[in-house]
Amino acid sequence: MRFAFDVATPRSLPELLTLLEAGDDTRLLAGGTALTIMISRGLVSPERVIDIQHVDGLGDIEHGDGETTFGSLVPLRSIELDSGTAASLPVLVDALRHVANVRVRNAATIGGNICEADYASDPPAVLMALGASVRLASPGGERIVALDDGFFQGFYETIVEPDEVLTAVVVPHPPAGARATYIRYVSRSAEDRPCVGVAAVVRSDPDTGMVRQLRVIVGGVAETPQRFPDLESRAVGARLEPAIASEIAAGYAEQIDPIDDIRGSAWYRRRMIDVFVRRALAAIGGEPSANGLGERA
Amino acid sequence: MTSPTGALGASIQALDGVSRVTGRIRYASDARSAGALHGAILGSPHAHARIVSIDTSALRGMTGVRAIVTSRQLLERSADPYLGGVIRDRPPVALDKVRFAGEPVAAVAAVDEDVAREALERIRIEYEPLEAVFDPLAALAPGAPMIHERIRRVVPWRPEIPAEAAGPNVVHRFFQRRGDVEEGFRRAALVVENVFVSPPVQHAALEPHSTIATATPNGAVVLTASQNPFVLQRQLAQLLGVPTAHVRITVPPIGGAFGGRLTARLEPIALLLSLEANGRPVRIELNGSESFALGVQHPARVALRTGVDGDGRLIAQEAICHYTSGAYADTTPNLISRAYAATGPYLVPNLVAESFGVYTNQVPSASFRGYGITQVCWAHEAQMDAIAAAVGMDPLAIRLLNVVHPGDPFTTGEPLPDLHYDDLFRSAAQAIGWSEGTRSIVGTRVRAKGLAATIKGMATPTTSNATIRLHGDGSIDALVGTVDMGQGSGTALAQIVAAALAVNPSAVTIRVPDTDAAPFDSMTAASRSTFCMGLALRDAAARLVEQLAEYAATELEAAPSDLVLGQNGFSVRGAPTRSVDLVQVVRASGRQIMIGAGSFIADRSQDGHVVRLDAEGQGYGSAEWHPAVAACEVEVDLDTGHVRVIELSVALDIGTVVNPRLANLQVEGSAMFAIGQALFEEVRYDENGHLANRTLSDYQMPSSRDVPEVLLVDFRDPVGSHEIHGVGETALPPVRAAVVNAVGRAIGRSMTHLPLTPETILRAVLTGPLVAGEP
Repeated sequence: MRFAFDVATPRSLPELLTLLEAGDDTRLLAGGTALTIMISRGLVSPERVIDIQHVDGLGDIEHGDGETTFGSLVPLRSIELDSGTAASLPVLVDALRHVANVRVRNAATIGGNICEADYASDPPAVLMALGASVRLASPGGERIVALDDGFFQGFYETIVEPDEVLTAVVVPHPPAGARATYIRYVSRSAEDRPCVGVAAVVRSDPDTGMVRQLRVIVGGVAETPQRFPDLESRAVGARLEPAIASEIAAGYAEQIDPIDDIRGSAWYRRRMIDVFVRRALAAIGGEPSANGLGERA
Repeated sequence: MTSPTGALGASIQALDGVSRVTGRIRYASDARSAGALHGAILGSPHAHARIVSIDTSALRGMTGVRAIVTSRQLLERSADPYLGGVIRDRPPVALDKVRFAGEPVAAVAAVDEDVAREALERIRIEYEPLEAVFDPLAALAPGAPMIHERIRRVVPWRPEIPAEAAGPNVVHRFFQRRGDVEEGFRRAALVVENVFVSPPVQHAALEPHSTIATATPNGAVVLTASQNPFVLQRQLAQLLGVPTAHVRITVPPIGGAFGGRLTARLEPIALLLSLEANGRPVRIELNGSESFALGVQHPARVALRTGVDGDGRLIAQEAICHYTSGAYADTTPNLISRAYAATGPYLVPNLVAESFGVYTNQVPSASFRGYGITQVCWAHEAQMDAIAAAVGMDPLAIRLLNVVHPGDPFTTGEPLPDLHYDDLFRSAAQAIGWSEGTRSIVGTRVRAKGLAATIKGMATPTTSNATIRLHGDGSIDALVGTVDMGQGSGTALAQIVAAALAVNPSAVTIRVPDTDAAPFDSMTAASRSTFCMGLALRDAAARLVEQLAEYAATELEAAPSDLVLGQNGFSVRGAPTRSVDLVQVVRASGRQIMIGAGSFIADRSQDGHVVRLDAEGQGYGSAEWHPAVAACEVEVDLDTGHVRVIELSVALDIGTVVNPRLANLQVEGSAMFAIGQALFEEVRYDENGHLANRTLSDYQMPSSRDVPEVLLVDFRDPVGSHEIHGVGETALPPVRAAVVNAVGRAIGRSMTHLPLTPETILRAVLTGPLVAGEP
């Protein structure tokens, strides 16, 4: 079938921003793994597609002091294979390794994944748990937004304005001694999207073992990744022991209003949130491991 | 005259393997025809409705539209508008009413897809919706909406199928009785009753369904991905009222079929469009979502009541099976007879089996790998585990106590030939360490083992013909109707021909089916091709060698009976240097080509009886019986209900293995089908009878990461028969049952509804009754 839309292929960011200024009904195409399916199924029918794959300068990984910056066009597979990322953000590499399959990861980009805002996706939860933020460029300038500062607005909805483009994802490195995990639970085939995904990062006092900070993000269960700072803070000042973990897990299960879909009913998902938050906290609650990695489901 | 058989048993790589994985195969969906029009089909929005009117006037004069087909054109153009292999109940486009959502009602051919789709949108159809029925028991209940009239068109060669249906919405009924079942139940120490429900599942072959049809001045030429080109040829000839010989069907290699390409669906519509377009070729291709509405595996409800004596011996069983046929009969009249295997390969002296094919307003059920056996196999194997638990016996022990031995009678009364189930059970069970304990727990994870056996028949009667040509340069090709769908038939058949002619398999080309060149073959299905076409090719080769030997004998000045066929051609027994090669023999013949034609008709049992069942299901049920046993260990997470199949072993007796590597792949493929069906595959409908999960994202199949860590296949040939038997399907039924049984044992619950999704399992763990010894 033919589809009626114009295609623009800018080569530079300024050129892209000029195109965005026109403000037509536009979709940006990066890896194309989501947009092409949406168009062919008639879920979106933009007047114009801007193919940003050839925009200069959006495809690099930069390892800075205490943070790594991923250009929005970096394929998930490149992050997964990047040795610098493996050293500084092992939990991210571990999470990406189980997204879809290698064919999809070769094409899908980190920026595209975030902007698609599919509720049944792995990277948003783990990036949020790591405290990632994104750079949004527009003809008017640039703004930086933390993912957990309302970036995800709903099903396939973000705060990115029509004249903005996500240019980079900045991920701070967890401090030494921090432990992180991402548990991805699939209820059907091994290549399914997650029924529940739990990312958790804990920073503890190296001497006393008391928790200083805990972040727990649950993805795949509601419109957007779910985080409850009040529940996270219950672990602060204590050891992340099974009783606290169970209390936090029960709290997440109670507070999240889970969706009902082909991967599980709301009833089932509520139980799985409890199980996998508990398991994620158990994975990062014991003695620090050599690679800072927790268990995987 | 003797010949060597060296090519048999070699694990040569599939001859088209490299082409398949490098994208060089030209599938039907890759084919284009110059000037072809694009055909598109309008489906019914209703599951059940009367068609009041069809208005295509808005298409008149529409630029680019070349043909329209509705019931009007169908009736004008066809000699007989109905299709169907046994009961002719299906017009290619709906005549007066629609019986499932998505049923073709109209079709157009246009210069491109966009115009075709726009044209479809302009067709106005007025429907009078009728009450629809989606459940087989509801369809049989008094007052249910009638989907078809009770008097129907049955093909003349099936006199045992009455013109009047056995009841409203009954496609056909199969009945079997043996011994005295009531007396058996009276003597039983224990009676176990369960109902086992299988959902519809999808074939989901990777290659899209597509066809190119051209109406010719006196017939038709059709290129399509069909598993039964010769049946399609006859059906299209009958549709048009032209001689069979005027219809030509060609079939390129296929990208997966699994039973989903045995029904004429797109071809008649494309052909009618071509007729309307004055003979321009018309191409129709469905996308993946549209293909979901073409056919499903028969959903089934199998109710078993089994009586056992104090020692755990089966003494009586009553089986009531309801196979949902969906909107049309298709293969259902044949398939429901598989209730003859509702006791499995176990001796049951007193039994009754009653099996119904039932019309509902759903996607028509079609042939599917495992053909009706899959559904009864997991029922009798889950029942066997329930009985074992009730009498306190080990699942392996109770099976060994009841399983048939060579010569024992099957449910049909026929003595079963050399089926050595004891051997298969021991092999499969030992491979996964059955005796080392059947259940273990680590944290929330429980591991348990499960077992299952199957007895699978082969469609009977069927016929294969083959022609082998030896060309002047010594090259050889064979003209066959067998379709290579990825199963490797082209390779296996080449090995059979090569063995018979003492040449290298790479010297043999197995041609893709072309009805203008190849002789009749029933179908590529039912695990029959290596066996039936293999024997037809052996017959053809023998006849070819017979002719060659006469010329060779003249050349060598010896008697034909003194010749030996070997790698260097013919030589005189005891004097290997006196030889003449095949090229020299063809030259000596003066014919430039030598042709051998052979055939095999599978209509008799191995002991020579005509395969036929009487009104009580007694007689002979199949030309071949395929035995298999599967055993597995699964791990169930009790917190989540999630299942992993850790180890799986399958033992089968397939006689002489033509190509062990390809045979292994058939078992592995069947096993992965089975794991998907056991754990998560299910076609779902919404409350209006529309398909609810018709993409491969919503409908999941196992991925390569779902393959068990250990997957062992053991081919056994305990009697050294040198016969070649089929293997395309046999592993599917027992693997599905073994996985379900292992899960049931892990959680201590009897699981009666598939698929066993984590949620289903968790609910059973939390609320279901524990397996107990209650009758």
